[in-house]
Amino acid sequence: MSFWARLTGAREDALILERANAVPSAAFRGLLGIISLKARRVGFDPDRKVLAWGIPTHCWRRNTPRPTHERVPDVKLRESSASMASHSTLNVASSTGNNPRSHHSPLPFYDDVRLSPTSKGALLFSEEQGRFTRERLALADVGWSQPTIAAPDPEAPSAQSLAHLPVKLPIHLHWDYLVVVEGSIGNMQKLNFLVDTGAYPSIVDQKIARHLGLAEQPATVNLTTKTVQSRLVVLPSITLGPVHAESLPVLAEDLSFLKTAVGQKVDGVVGLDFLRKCNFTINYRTKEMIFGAIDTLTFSASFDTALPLVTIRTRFQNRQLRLVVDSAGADLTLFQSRVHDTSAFQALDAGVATDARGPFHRRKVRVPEVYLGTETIGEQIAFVVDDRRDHGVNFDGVLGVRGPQFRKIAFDFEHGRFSWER
Amino acid sequence: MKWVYLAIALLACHLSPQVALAAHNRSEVPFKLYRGYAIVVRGSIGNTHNLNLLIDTGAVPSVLDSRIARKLHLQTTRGTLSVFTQQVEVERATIANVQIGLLHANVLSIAVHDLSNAEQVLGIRVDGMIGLDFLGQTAFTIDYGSKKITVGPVDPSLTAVPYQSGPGYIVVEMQIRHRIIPLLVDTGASELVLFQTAEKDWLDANTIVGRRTWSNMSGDVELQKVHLSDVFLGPTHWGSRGRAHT
Repeated sequence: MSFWARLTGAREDALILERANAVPSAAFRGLLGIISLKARRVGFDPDRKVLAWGIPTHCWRRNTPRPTHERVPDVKLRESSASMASHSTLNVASSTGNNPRSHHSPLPFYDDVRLSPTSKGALLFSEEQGRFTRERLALADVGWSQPTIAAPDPEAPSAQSLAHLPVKLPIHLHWDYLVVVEGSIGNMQKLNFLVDTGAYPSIVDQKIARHLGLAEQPATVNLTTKTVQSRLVVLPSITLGPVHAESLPVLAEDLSFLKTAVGQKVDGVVGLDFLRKCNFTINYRTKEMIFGAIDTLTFSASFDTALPLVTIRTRFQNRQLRLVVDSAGADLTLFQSRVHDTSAFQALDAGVATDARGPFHRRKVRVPEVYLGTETIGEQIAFVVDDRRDHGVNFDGVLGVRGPQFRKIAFDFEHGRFSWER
Repeated sequence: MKWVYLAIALLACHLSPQVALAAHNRSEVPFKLYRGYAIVVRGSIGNTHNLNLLIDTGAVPSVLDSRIARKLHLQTTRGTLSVFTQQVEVERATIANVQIGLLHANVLSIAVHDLSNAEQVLGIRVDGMIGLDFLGQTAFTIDYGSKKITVGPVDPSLTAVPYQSGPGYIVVEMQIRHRIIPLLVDTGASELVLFQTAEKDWLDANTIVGRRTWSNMSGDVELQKVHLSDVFLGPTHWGSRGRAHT
């Protein structure tokens, strides 16, 4: 199944200033307007000469800034009990003298987490106004949907910073390639997210959007063969393992069809707009998604582009194409408008396939010796689709993960590399 | 309803601001947000403290209210300030020891103007408008959520686009319906404002939904309100950027 989409723009209001009476100023020449900056955060960097904006999204790591409204309570060295309620959200009960208190805090806002290999617990450290506090945390009730933390190396010191340890999430694997993991949106826990590295932006099921009472605005989505209207909402917060974002703009769509496809309810599709804040590996054999440190995999290739989607330079038959790596895609798909002459490919058959937006024509071909970067993945079966030429698209096809029979794939956003094992 | 645009003004002459910043370390400056967009911090000029200073990257140069200028006994010279619709006669002066949080300027060349219209709009006395001639020497981040300006490296996780800089202002390129539109970045603006150009084809495709009156230092101007589609800044569509909570 291919469920990639590219958002081309929501409606935006603007004021038009008629310049008929304007007095030209040397400073204004060339300017065509002014832009207000009502984003959540706006950064000015004169050294790099960049304007930065957006939403606070981060991976769980040391010294991750904590928003003021999520501060941990002022707890001095004492024991607390805790249970893992969802991927990175803790229900922590603590006490201050005779005043028991409890709070509900997402893990990323702690400055540091240290594992205790002997007690199967963790210590959460926070520093506030120079005051160092800590809470003891016991992990319990870790089911399939809960994150597991890699067992500490017995040779290592008695405490390790979790920032350097991988965080593993068990995954549900459907059709040998579709990855579903559990996460949360706002205060809604235990939601099922389809991991789709070919999706931009992420998508939430419209039932969830309505349940949360999210305001919608119209948006346009470009698919391979057509443009469709959608609705845009802003999620108050979303958490998947160690990855957390606030005020994330996503599409609101009816995802009920995915239940038929994967056999379980899917509440959202998380794409790279969200996932790119944390390196991750998908191990299809052990059915785990691992965030944090990337294992050294056998093969790797540099990202050709990283925004909005990760593309890899691909080569076959003296052609060079950019392919999106699509974890929710099964096969190698090539856009007719980009590959032009396909007569050199061995034609296998032709037919009609169906994706989220309905049926479309595609031709099945055999492509000899495909290279990702400089590494070969051998002969591949590909589908050529009659796409609609879109000058805004900067890739030529989609590389699904089932066709190449990847056992592991890894995205290292820090170093801009895609790795795999077969 | 009359909508007021607080400060989009450029001094006709080239500016050579002499700003020395004392802040080399990360520091935070709290601010109050008015009408969801106007950022007001407390600062001082010389020995005059607790001034309400509007952070306005569209103010080129920084502007001091004439009342404060008189209080400081500033010596002024006559000058011209360009706003979009006309040129405005102003006075120019040099002020010393401008302090906002840990940020400090020994000397700052400013325009002097009556800012009482800003007070009418915001409901708070505005003693000055501080632009990038003061702020632009070091990296800083405005967090509209926590209402703090953080001086120091910008969070690399934020989406970034390159900008072109002029003397005291910066320009980014927005893409509207596949057309590149250079825009002045302005924290003092409440709306996205586009200039009507001779080439109307890209605007005609959008929906005109009304008109507004807009006031600035040069008086009132009429504007059309339109709905735009396919608006991009860098890789991100601008219509869903996670707006500030107001």
